[in-house]
Formats: sequence, structure tokens, C-alpha cells
Amino acid sequence: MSFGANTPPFATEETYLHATDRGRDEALTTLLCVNIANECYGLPTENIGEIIKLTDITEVPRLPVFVLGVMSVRGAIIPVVDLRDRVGLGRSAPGRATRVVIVQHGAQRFGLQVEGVVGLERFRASAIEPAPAIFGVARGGAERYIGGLGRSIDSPDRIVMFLDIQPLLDIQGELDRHRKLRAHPEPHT
Amino acid sequence: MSTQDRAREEFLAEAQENVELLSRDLVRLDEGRALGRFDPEVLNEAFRAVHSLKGLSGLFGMSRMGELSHHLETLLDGLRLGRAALTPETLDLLFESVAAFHQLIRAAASDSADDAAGLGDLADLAARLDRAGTAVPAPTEDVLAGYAIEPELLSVLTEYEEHRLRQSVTEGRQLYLVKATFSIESLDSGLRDVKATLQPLGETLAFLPGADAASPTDLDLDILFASLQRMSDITEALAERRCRVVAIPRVGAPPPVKSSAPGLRASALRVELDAEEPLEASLRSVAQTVRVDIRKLDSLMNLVGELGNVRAGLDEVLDVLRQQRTALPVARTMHREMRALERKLDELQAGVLDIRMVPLGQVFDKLSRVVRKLSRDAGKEIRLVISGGDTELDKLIVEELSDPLMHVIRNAIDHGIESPAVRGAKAKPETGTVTVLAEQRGSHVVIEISDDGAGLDEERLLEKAIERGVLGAAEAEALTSREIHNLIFLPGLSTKGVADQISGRGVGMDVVKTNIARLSGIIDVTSERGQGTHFSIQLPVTLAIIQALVVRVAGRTYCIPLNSVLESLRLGMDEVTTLSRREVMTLRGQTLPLVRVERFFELSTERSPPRRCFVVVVGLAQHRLGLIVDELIGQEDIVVKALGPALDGTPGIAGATELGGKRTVLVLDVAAMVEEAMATRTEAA
Repeated sequence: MSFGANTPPFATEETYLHATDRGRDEALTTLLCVNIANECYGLPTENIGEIIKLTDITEVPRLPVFVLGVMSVRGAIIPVVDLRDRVGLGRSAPGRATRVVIVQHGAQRFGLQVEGVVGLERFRASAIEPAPAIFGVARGGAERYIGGLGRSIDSPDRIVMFLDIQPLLDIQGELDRHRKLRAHPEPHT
Repeated sequence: MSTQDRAREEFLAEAQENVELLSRDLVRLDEGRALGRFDPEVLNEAFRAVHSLKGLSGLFGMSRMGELSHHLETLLDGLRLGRAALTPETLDLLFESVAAFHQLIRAAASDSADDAAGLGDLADLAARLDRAGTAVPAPTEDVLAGYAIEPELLSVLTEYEEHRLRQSVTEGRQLYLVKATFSIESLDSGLRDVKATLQPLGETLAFLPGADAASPTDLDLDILFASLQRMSDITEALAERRCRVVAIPRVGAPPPVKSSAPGLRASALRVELDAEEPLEASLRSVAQTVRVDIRKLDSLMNLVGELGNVRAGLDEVLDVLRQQRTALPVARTMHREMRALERKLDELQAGVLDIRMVPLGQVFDKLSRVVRKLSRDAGKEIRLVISGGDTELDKLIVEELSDPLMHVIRNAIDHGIESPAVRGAKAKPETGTVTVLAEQRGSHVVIEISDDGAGLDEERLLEKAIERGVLGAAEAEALTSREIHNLIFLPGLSTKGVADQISGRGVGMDVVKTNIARLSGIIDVTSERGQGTHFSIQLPVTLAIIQALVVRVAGRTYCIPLNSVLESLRLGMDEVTTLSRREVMTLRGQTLPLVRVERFFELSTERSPPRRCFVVVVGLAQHRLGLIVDELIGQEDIVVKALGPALDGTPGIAGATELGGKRTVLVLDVAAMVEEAMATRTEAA
């Protein structure tokens, strides 16, 4: 008995999954799921460099509060954002499960502090729903960062909120807003 | 970066170097001309630089640069062959070409047509170059007729050699033939030795093949030599060489020495055998140097900094080892090794820093060009005295320094030095003097620029300041002379009423101040009415690794660049007083505004303000400010790293650095803090 040239000798997990999905002929999205305030958020994987344990973060004054400060990762200085604070759930308290997800965004790397890493999970494109407008009311504008909702193939009981990196890391924009506030606190005077 | 881009960058850098070389040579020629001295070798060097430029331009398809080089080369060739005369007008033309080259290089670098727009008259410049090159001086009688020179000898001379020969005779020098014998194996070194021996005595005009040597391993050369020295002196100098000196006899009376051509000082002459043959070699780099992108040095510097962190980590391990009795012998050995590592690291750091250093002379050369032009434009006679051109500074600083320096000098010429008539009336020498002096003092370089002009007009400065609303009349009363002089660094306070070339461009001394401050430098001015003005610019030697003062504020650690720290002292809270809602203290009779770092940064803290703390007095440009901190920890060498684009422009923070133990510590941006403190002060006032 011989295998065809294109057939791998053993069925790996990949080929197995591929085989089971093939029938449905559907695109899959893989996200890194992280834990924030006991909820599950999904981060796009393409920009993620590494996940590291929390080390000392140096506070940088006069930044928006969601920026915890800077940390040194192998000689480079990178800003760290508290994801919990950023999505409007208040500052997180570092614990044993706390991790920093390093993402590349534009010309710069950022650290995203999360309260735990759940793992990589796959989502069917058809099963992604838009974020309900209720977030805008409940979270003071957090809907800007949430691109949608979905249930993963791997653990269908859990709802995962998909995060948009772009508005999440717009620190300069946030700084500009701050500065304007600082410079003209009361525009009519 | 693509290979093409890199090649292009290489080309631009090399072209720039050649233009600068040319410019330096022209300055030397100009100086020589003023002193009645002429060094043919300088002209040769200029010619070679232009020739290289021409080759380079051809290679890279820079047709306009090639065209200009060609015309310039023709003129310079004419000059070295005596077909054209080196008049002040010709020199002006040459300097103009240098400016055109600079513009062409800039245009090529920016790839824009705009920069080249001002070059429409390139053809005109070329035509004028050609005219200057063909302005044949009046034909002179054949001076060589007075010498019994064999026709065969004359026939083998190149045009240049023959020109130098005629020139030497015209200037009344005696001609000699040095008949030298060299062993073929050591021909190169032998020739070099003889050249070096002859150099101080006169000018070597040509090397000619001699009679057949007596031995097959020897080679005879006749050296045609012109000198004011007596034959016996030359013979004596060559006593240790296998040389025989023969004077070429004069026929009849010696030709009269032209008074217009003062005798050349023998020592001013340099002789080089290959003066005529650089044509093929010119595309090869002349010096033993490597051109390196400064960013590569930056990353190397970063590595050195990180090695320093590793060392600090090892130090901590050593401390742990020392705690354990059984490990003591190991700890001792490790301590020894660590010391060696430390020394080598220091050397490595010094080495990398050294690579970045370039002499200030590069900027000073440009200054002499500007002074020459400006003084003529202004109708003033000005002597520029420069010293300390070999003082070295970080390449990046030197680059940034040329504009501010240029501006200070322009200012001295335009506003400082009076016209010759006014100077005459004041019993001052008609020629004004601008002195530029550089020297290294510790980890700083100080550049002093003085003029012997009119000095600053205090009344006018005050008037202007009040007119512009910078000062209240009452405030103006209280200012000391020194404070008044420093008003010139405020925007819009030029002392001259009329808009001239400079103020028309909207550039003022405030820009100079800002530029110097950006380099972590300090500029100060003192002036004496009628006697002149004196600027002092203090700069750090490098920005790559800086020394920093480590301080603690509200439980946080910060680094303050030491180059902006003037002093630090203990402060009792009772020494702080409040002046119009701003905290100040009195330091040696002067009022020093204070800033509490924790308030500046709005740091949250639970501790109650300490009763005793420290003041770090920082100076930036002419401003002084006291930063109140809790504790002084010590000094460290640090490599400042940017916070990156996302946090760029965080007010008051220049960057971050890693201190021992991998702690990330912020570095304060003293310039921004001073600026902000001053801004709030004016707002409050």
C-alpha cells in the first residue's frame, strides 16, 4: 500500500480538522481569546508577537489612564495598555494569571495587559454577529473597540467579543483629545 | 534600502566630501593670496577634488553636476598651468561654484525639482568659468632663456611641470638637478625619503630618467629642483643619500625678480610625486576610511548599553555570592573577572563614541566662506580668527550646529561690527575681528564667538521688549544688564529696525536658542557697549550615551540628563517663598523659580510632602529652573531610548532607559519642562 504524493503519511490534527470542515466549505477565523473581568475577548492573531508574564511597568505621567506605562522587552521600550480599563471596565488588578500580549501595530509594538489567556479559538465567519448597540450606553463608548460577537467552534457555550486593534491603540488620538481639553478647558471663556 | 538607493547615498556622500575638500582648498588659497603666498599643491588638490566629482557625476548620470565639474576643472587646470590668473574675481567665481554644487547635491538628495529651480543660470556660471579660464595673462618674455637648460630636458616636461619651472625662475629661484641613485628594490622608500628631505628646501619640479646606472640593480633619476637655498645647503641635506647636486648654470645676468610675486616661503611648499597622475586613481577613496550609516552606530551603542545592564545583573549575582561563606573564593574570582569586564566595556563604549566624533573644523570651514561673502555684501572689512577646529564633537551635533553658528556670526557681521567709517571715527581699527574659539572642557565643548563691534543696545532691547509686551515697564527697571542682554533670545527682538536679508527670512536669535537647546546645549551672551559682544555656547560632547542624575520623586525614579544640571542642593521647605502664586527660592542672591516634579507630572502619592528635600538646578539656554525632588540617588551613564511613536511628545519625558536590575526608568526632558514652566509663568503674569 502506498500513499499518494499529496497525502501526508499520518492524519495530523490539522488534516483532521480540515477534513471535518471541508464539508461545510466555510472560512474560519482564529482569535486569541483572553479573559477580562470574567468575560472573553478575542484578539486577531496576525499581529501578535508573543505573550509574556507581567514584569515591572514604569508609570509614564500625563498619559490617558488606560496606558499603564512602559516596559522593557528585550531592550526595546514599549507602552503597555490595560485592556480592561480600555474597554471601560475599570483598572485591572494584577494577579497570577495576568499576562501581557505583545502586538505589532503600525510602526510600534504595544503590550496589552489581560487578566488571563484562554487560548486560540476558531470561529465560523457566518456565526459572527455585529455588536449590539447596547454597549454604547452601558460602556461609555466601548462599542468602538468591539467589532462583533461570536461563539467559537471549540467552546460554543461562551460568547466572545471581538476587539478591533486600531481604535484600541490610538493613544496619540487620545493624547490630542487630552491636550485640547487641557489647553481649552472652557472654550467660551 | 535597495542597492540602488545605497549606491546613490554613497554617491551623494562622496560628492559632498569632494565639494567640502574643494571648498577648504579655496579658503586656503584665498588666505594664501591675502598673505602673498601661493601653494601650488593646494591648487592641485582642488583640481583633483573637482576631477573626482566629474568622474562620480558621470558614473551616476548626474549630468548637470558633471557639466559644472567639467567647466570648473578646465578653469582650475588653467590656473595650475598659469594660463589664468588667480584673481579675487576668479576666487569669487570658484566659491560661487561651490555653492552651486551644494545646491545640486541637495536637489539630488531630495529628488525634487524645486531645489534645482534656483539653478537656472548654471549655463551662465559655466560661461563665466570658461571666460575666467581663458583670460590669458600678458605673455612674458621667455624667462628660461636665462638658463642653460638642455632642450631634451624641456621636451619631456609636461605642461604643468614647465609652468612651474617658468614660475620658479620668474620668482628668482635657482634651478638644480639632483642626480639621485636608487636601488631598484627600495625605489619607493628611497624616493619618498629624498622627496621628504627636499620638501622644506624648495619645490620639486619634475622627476626625469637619468643616465644609465652603473649597476643593473640601481636606477638613476634626475630631479629638477627649484630653491632659494644655496647649493651647499642642499648638498648637505642630501649627504646621507646617494645624490649629487648640480646647479643649472645661468647664462648672462639673472632675470630681475618680479616685485609683484613675493618670494615663496620654502616651507609653504609641498611636493608630491603623483601630482600629475591621480586621474586613474581618483575614483578610489583617498583616505583609509569607511563610511558608516550613523544608525548602525546607534544600534551598536544600544548594544553597549545593554551589555552594561548585563554587567549590572552580574553585579547582583556577585552580591548574592558574597553573602555565602562557602562561595567566597568564587566571589573573589568573579569580582576580579568583573573588574576586567568593566574595563573592557568602558573601552568598548569609548571606542564606539570615538567613531561618532568629527572635528568642528568641518563647520568652521563653512564659516570662513560665509564671512568672506557677508563682509563684502555688508561693505565691512572683517577678519575671522578661528581656533580649536580640531575639537571633536558627535557627528549629529556638528551637523545641527552649523546653522546656529552661522546665524550668530551673521548677526555679528550685520549688527555687531560697525562700518569702517564709524570704526575709524571711534578710533578702532577699520578691520573688525570676529573670533571663534572652541575647546573641550570635561564632557562639554565650549564655543565662544566674540566680535569687537558696537555691542548690544540695552535701551533699544528694553524698548522693544516693552513694545512687544514681553516686559512691563516696572519689570524692565529691575533687570540686570545680563538679563537685558539675554532678551535677544526672545522671539521677535532683533535689534535692527530695518528688515534686512536675515530678518526678512524670519530667523532670529530665538531660533538659535531653540536649536542649541535641542542639542542639550546652553547659550549665553555678554556684551559691552562699544566694545563688542560675546556668545558662549556650551554643548555636550555626545548625545548617544549621557550621564544622568538619578533622583526619586514620590516613590518613582527618574533620570535627569547631567548636561543640563548646574548643581543640586538640599532645601528646607522654609526656604521656599511664593511670588505671584509661583514657588521660588533665593540662590546666591538670585531668584530661582521652582517646580515640584510630582506636581508637574501630577503624580499620585500617599506620602505627606517631606520637610527636607533637594533642588536640582537645571539650565537650558539662558533659563534656570529648580526641580524639587525627594532624593538624589547618584550618577549613571545611560543610553536614552525613545518611547516610540505612540507616546512621542509626552510632555516632559525625553525617553526611557534601563538602569541596573532591568528597571525601566524615565528620562526627563529638561527643555520641555523649562519651556512649560516659563509658559505658565507668562500666563500667570
